[in-house]
Amino acid sequence: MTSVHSTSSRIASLLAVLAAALGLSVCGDDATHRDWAAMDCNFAATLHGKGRVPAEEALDSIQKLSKDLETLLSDYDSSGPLSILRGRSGDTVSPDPRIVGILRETLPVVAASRGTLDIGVHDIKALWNLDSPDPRVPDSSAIDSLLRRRHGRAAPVPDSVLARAPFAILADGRVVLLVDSLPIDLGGVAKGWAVDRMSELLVRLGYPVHLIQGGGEIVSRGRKSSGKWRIGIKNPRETSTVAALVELDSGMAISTSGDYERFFLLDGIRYHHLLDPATGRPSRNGVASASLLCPTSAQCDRWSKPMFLLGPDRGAPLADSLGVPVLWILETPSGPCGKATSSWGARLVRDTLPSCDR
Amino acid sequence: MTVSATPRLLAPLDILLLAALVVAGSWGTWRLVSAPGGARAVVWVDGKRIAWYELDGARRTDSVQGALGYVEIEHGDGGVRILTAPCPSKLCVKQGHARKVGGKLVCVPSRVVVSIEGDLREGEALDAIH
Repeated sequence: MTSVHSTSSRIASLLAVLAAALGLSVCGDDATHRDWAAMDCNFAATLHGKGRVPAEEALDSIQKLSKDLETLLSDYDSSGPLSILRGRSGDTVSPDPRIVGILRETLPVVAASRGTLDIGVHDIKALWNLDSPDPRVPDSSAIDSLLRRRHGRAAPVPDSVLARAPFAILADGRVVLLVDSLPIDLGGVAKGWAVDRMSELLVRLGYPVHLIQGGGEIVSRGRKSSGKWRIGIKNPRETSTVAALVELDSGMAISTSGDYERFFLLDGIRYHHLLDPATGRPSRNGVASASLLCPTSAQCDRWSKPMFLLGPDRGAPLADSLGVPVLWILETPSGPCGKATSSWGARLVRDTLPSCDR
Repeated sequence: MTVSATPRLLAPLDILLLAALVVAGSWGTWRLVSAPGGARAVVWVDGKRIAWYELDGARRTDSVQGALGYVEIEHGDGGVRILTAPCPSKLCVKQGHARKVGGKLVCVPSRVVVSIEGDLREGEALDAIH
């Protein structure tokens, strides 16, 4: 009896070990992942653990939220919720409270970034039409005409003019329009804000450990059993390779603006989607990408295009004052090089970039 | 007094069972270890994972139904690309091949995403690349 019992126990133990091994091989560390398209870009989310609802149901919920926010914040729909902000100067309007919330966070950055964050560039972006199958450089006169309509002068528009807020927000949430027919465009701020809202929803659904990516915006929450979240930053001139690798703690966001995301090449010149509001043309400051680390995805999104446009010389002092670590990848004749704020190094696992200062 | 036979640790049937378990366990472990090395392209349509292809297979073409119509995908020979799509801009077609882990091809109007999954390099999994 003893031997039979012993054999059964051994087999039971072996079964348990093998079942665990098989279970691990099938389920990994209990992560569920999804990719989808919304808000004019790719979204991806990875959830760890088990929540109050099944993981797929939680992913359905944030995917639906992304589509609802796409409708709320789209500047392509001339009759959408944003259109209320395209009225006459002096009008007082009552936008959706979520739009007012975004504007409250955005207007201070318009001023602090010296107008490099501009939420009235829809018509200039449409003129460049980088998404066209056959993109081309617009006439200078057409660009200047739009700048005159927007700012009352042609390129280059001075910082002092660009930094003026196009709205005043009243205490009761109503908005006073300060510009006629503003071509409103929240493309530089909406995705990061949306990613934060999706992260909050996942926490409410019982998934405090997750990573969400919306285009160049990423937010992490919680800590995986396998350690910190590891994010690769693309080499802007060889986008299938990773130029730098950073680790994120719980509740950190990273954002990257790069000239490789939407562009066309003509006569050796790269015409990209990061338009300088002062000129209405793609910036030419030698920056190929700018990556930021922030407490929220919304903050990262609001500051990533300004940091790209300001470059390290003007951007680094501002980034230090904000407490935001930034890595700029610059294009040089000998290839890309990296230049970062002193705080960036604390998050860096490794990089393959030569320093621009050498 | 009864003399019992020397207790056997395992009967022949037990050994057979154990051998089967060892084979099954080894297979599972092999899959666990080997899966990251083989990058694969996963096709998502409106958030639903509808297909995946091994990148190092023979070159083939497949069609998936997106929100605007059929999207034609070529995969194999170490890469994946979108051959045709009903999206007005054809941006996803112009993206060309994706060959490395983290690469994505996105047809926003069609709600189609092709994502290459796997480890970046031996023993180094990344949570996201951007």
